[in-house]
Amino acid sequence: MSTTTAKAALQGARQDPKAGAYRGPTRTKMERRRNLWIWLFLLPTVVLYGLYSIYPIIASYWYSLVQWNGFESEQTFVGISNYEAVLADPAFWSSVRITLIFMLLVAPARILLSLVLAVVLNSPKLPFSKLFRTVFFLPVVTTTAIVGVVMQFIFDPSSGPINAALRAVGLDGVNFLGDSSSALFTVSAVYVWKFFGITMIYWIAALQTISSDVYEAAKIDGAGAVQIFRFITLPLLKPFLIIISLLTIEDTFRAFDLMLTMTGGGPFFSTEIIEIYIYRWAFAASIPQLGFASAAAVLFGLFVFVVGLIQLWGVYAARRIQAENK
Amino acid sequence: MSVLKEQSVGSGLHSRAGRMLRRSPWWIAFAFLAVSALLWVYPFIWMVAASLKDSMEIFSSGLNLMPKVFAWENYVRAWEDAGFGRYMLNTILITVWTVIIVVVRCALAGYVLGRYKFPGSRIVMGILVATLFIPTGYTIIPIVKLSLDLGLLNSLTGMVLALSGAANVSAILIYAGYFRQLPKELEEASIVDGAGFFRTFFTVMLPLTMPVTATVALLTFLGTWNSFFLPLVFSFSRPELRTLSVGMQAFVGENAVDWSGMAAAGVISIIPVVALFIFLQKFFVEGIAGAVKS
Amino acid sequence: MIELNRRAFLGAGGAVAAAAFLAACKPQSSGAPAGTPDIRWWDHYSALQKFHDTWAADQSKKLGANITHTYNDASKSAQALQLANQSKQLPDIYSNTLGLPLSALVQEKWLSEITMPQESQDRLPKGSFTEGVTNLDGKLYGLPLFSFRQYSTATWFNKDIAAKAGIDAGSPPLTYDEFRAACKKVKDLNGGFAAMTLALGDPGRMRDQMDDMAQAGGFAGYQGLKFATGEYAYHDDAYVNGIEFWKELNDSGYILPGSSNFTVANARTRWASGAAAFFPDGPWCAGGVRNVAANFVPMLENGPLLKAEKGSEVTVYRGAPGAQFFVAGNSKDPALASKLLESFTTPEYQKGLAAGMDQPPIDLDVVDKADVIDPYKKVVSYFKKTVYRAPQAVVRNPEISVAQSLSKPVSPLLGDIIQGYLGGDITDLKGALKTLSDNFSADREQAIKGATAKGAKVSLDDYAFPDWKPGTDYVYA
Repeated sequence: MSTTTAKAALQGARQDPKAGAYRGPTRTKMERRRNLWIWLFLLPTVVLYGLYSIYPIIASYWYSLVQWNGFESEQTFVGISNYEAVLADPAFWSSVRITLIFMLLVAPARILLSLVLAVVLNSPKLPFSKLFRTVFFLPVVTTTAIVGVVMQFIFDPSSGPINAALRAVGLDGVNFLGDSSSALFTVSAVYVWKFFGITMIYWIAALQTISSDVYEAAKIDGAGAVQIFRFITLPLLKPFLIIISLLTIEDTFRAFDLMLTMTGGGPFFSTEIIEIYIYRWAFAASIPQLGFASAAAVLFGLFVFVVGLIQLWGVYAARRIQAENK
Repeated sequence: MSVLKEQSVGSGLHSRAGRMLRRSPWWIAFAFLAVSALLWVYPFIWMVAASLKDSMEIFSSGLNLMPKVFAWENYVRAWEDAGFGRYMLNTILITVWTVIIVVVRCALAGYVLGRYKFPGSRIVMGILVATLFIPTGYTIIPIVKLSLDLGLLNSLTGMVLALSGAANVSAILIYAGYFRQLPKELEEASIVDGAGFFRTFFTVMLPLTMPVTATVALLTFLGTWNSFFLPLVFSFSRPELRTLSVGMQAFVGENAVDWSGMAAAGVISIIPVVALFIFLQKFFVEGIAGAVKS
Repeated sequence: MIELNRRAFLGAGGAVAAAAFLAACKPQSSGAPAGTPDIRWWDHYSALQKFHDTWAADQSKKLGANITHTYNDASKSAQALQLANQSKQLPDIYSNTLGLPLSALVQEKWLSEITMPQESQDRLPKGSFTEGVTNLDGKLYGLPLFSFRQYSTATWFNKDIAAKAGIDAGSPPLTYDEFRAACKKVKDLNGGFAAMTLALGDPGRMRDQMDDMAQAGGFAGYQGLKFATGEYAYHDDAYVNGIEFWKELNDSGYILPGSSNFTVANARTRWASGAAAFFPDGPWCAGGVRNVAANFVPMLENGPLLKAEKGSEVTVYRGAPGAQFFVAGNSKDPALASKLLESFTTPEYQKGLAAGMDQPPIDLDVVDKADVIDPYKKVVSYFKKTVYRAPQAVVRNPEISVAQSLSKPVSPLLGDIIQGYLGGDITDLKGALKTLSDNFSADREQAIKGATAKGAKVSLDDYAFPDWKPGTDYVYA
């Protein structure tokens, strides 16, 4: 789902104000008939999207203003006191910080490492490049929640294979997920491993928009591999860099599955991203605080929305560069 | 669709030895990649190995991948006792229906939004774009409450509707963008032929969208097959409605240390989609690449 | 018109078609036996899973009704019950994982009255039913099942490793010092196993265990609350000493690596696989081990809860037996559900319950005659000798439950603080515990204020029991 949504940033940018200028030959009756059809076509989206996306957003705002524990029918209006409580909670700010650190850890790793790999894999000279592409893409199609569980064992300090390997070469074992100083890094590494393939495919697609003639011409001019990359490939990739960065960053807000199944936010809240924080108060607390959790959720929604706006702006910028290149 | 085709090898070399020499850095790269690739798939290899080990052997075997005795009963345990057979069926049902609903509703909406200007089109478009970035944790509480009120909370139907109703703006926008760039003569010709609005869409426009449909279907498939939060919340009180993801999480909770059963369950859960991927690889890769193509 | 039909099918109709198809698939996908069950029964007692399955089958025959029993993981069941209640789908009988006061549950229609003849109630020992805990206004709402005389931190150990380390299984370590020395002996063996393991990854269990340790270390209260004064005192020396002791064990390398993210079941199974010598756990350790590693059962042995110093006595205090089973407010046949619960008071059930070796049955004497292993009998004998009845505000003044239902969760809790301190994230232990006490006090104050506003007659004094005496079962004046 994540890629789909992020991808829309691109498509949304393509919105042309003059869109759909097509008009039927005669007015009124035909037009009314046509509009009826149009709304019939929109009906499933209006109903489903309205119920499951628009309504929940509005409802979240309402819930964030009440005190409600979910099982008592009573909802007491409490104004903005939930927001005050969330903003006064150091654990909330800690989760914001962790969400940002996580983003800063995984986004550059995904974007840059996959670029290097894509450039190598894109070369026709590399033997078995297709096979490699398959292998590096493989984790993408596996189920995140299952990967999270399996990785717990891979990183297990006493019986897991990684620590067995460390001990076999004479190193001390590391409690990857059990130590609050390493847990976030470990989850980040698994996250990069899991979603790396998507970014890699983006890059390969981007690289293949560059015609091989350009390279041929450069070679004839006597350019070396490094020079070609520095002066030809990289500039042509610039607009893609922006788009791919945006897609990848948007993705990092959806690490809930992996986090919940691998660490559950622990140890000692060290991997508690905002979504886990919301989940903890809404579903895992002995007395659920749905009003409080909704306030946190609304704040998170605003946060993501702002990042989204910056991204859209970035996409426009990318389009402009692309247009200039053409 | 041919963006990813291998580039033709420009060969300007004459002697075989020269070619070997020129290519040697690629062999180094190859060796490096081969090692990385092995590490990359190691978790899967480990999982398959673990799924065949005796449940106590797994704690002591360290790096040794080969089971002493092949314990196939782990699979029986995961499939029957832990209910992964049913979880698999649930997951397939949910995924198939969600993909169908998303593709149909997004194609319909994308078509009218992409090709027609009508009263309200700007508002609809505006709302869609404005709600583009909705994180899951944000809306889950009202979705649960709504499903409760509709009597859909503890059902697969409720899960499918929620999954296919939530945030597929991007798919609509992809369709809209695609339909927009089709020449308008197509419709005019169709109307001249006497076809109505609906038939024009179905017989003329829809068949042209296969590449986009593939992308939307694929991304929806991956998203739904992987979905965790929503099915988790929807099946809290009905364990028999769990999907593979939720079932795996529950399995850990209930059998904390049955590693081999868990590994077997993991293999069962991952195999179908990996197999699908390997058979339809081109499809997958191009579907995802569709996101940056412009 | 034909077009319209096709459109309807493909458009919004897709959802309807999906619904219809899924509805058609349901019986087959849920795999439920033909016909809907008359009584649905949920609980979270893992060691009793098999026993309850058979009991459900037997009672189905006896009562002539279709009874289905489902086991729910403890960590998930509260969430499951909440959602089930809101959607009016509560199972007819369910175990209590809600952590809400009885009066709130009754008021919000979670419960139906359990109708049970007096003679059946009398089969349970005297004092099993308490107004405010199991009964309200004289009506029975929650069936107690387990004895209040129990704790979660017996010193279980592996006999085999103990023998190797020269620890006499007949006189296990009783104090912090002796335990430390025993751990050192095990560690010095370098035998490929750790001295001990703990479920450090489960803050809830660590909280329970530290509450035990604090009481054994001289804390005259329960869950941070001092009996005599009714004040929160998590920063009491007994808590600090107990946590410092664990920290010291941790820093000395006695605790199995990885314990910091073990859940209880995980830690227990590692221990049962021979990975460590000691494992502090509750009586259910016996039943739990038998379930996962039956061949380890002969290795089981235990000592009582550790005390801080030689010479002092271990004394543990617990409130009245809690309500373990409820009949759902939305049950279609509360009478039939009550009949099933009534069967739980029979000697056969109590015997089976004891044989499950989970929490001990409400009549501890049943254990001696039940089919249980000796270490289980031993741990229950500690309970008989050292666990006393604690005073409870809600028992003396049932209106306290109004305040309880207005209470909000506090975070981080004791277990989180322990995890943070052992992992090095918290350096000022005493300060963190003081904050915890303050948070609980503040929450209680707002709850009392809210309850008073609702008309309940409650005050802070309700929490103070100046007449409480150590080493006795508290009797309300």
